[in-house]
Amino acid sequence: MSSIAARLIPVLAAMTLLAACTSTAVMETTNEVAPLEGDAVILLVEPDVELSFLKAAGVSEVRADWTETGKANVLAEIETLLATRGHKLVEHEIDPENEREVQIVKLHEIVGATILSHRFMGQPLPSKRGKFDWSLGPGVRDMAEAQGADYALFLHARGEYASSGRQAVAIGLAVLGAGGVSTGGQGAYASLVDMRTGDIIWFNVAFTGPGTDMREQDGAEHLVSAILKDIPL
Amino acid sequence: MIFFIRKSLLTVLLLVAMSGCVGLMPVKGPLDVDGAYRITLGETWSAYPRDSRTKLRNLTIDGEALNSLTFAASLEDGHTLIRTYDRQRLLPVYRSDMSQTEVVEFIRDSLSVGGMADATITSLRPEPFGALEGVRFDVKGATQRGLNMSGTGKAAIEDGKLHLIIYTAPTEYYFGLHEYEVNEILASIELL
Repeated sequence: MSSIAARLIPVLAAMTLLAACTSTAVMETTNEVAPLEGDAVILLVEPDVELSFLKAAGVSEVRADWTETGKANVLAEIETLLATRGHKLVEHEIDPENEREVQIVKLHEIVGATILSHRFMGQPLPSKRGKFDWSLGPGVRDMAEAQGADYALFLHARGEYASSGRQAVAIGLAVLGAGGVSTGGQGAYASLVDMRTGDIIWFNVAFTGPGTDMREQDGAEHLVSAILKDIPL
Repeated sequence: MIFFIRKSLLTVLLLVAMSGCVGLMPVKGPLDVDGAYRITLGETWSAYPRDSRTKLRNLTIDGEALNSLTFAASLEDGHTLIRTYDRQRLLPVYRSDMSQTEVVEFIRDSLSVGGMADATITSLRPEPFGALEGVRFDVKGATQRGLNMSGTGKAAIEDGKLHLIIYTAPTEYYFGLHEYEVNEILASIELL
């Protein structure tokens, strides 16, 4: 391989990472699930969003203002997208004093990460024997009772946005032949949960490049439409 | 965070390659632990390869973060349960002259160093470990992200060597999901 070609590969890789590409992958439960009723009540659980600033040295720092903006944008886009489906949508803000609710959101984070690890990363669990039967457990009923919810949508999203210094480092190193320097990006996973059992009946994950930004309305729309494109609602 | 897998194609490929190398195996029924004791698994578990440095074997059903059954057998004086390349780091070390209470403290300290926040051992009680006099205990703690964890386990010393089984899972839903199976496993120990 010529030295020019060898240098072009990491540059192209860096450009690909800078592009606004989005990848998704859907999983559905193998448990038996009753069809969703047309007038089902869907709880939109406050999205678990955390957005960070990626500094030149590669250290990330959570930004509360970005996080709040991203969360509001994502929730607004979810409501807009699902409003046409005929179900009753109910926003559900997590009460930080309600330990059960806080624990269920944290459990969703770790269950989602486990699903990613064993269903999307090439390391299936032999004990599952091909089944997709992860659950948050019947404890979710506590969240459902007040609003009579039948299902709940949980969404976990993380984003990193590089400083201009960081982007310069990435491009400079790519030109010198050293690729693999992150310039940020966004990742999210969402679960539709049967509130009678806690079973995750549908799960999707989406990754986007730094060109898509959920701090902006159109970036949030892009991410939400990608992640909810096959939701059975 | 899993989010970071999007950071670079190289990282993704590396993670997939690494995960493909782990070699999870299904296990059910009798399982010999390092020729020291045998347990019987009622359900099918996924087994990670034995860690040659820590001598720990780990089984799970739903994923390591959701239920983790860890075994060790015949641990000798000076052994640590923590895998690290940092030689300066102070680690909990097993001593063959430890009392049962000190063994449980060693387990608690190992859980703490391993990442469990506020690790606490409760309900310490005598319970046979096969034909040995063992100690049974329960565990409370949390992940670094604040998810409450529960656990239970059993330990015994045979000729100065430590046998150990610990089960941990999120308190919310997952601990109770396989608690019966774990209690059956802990009751099934036979010395070899």
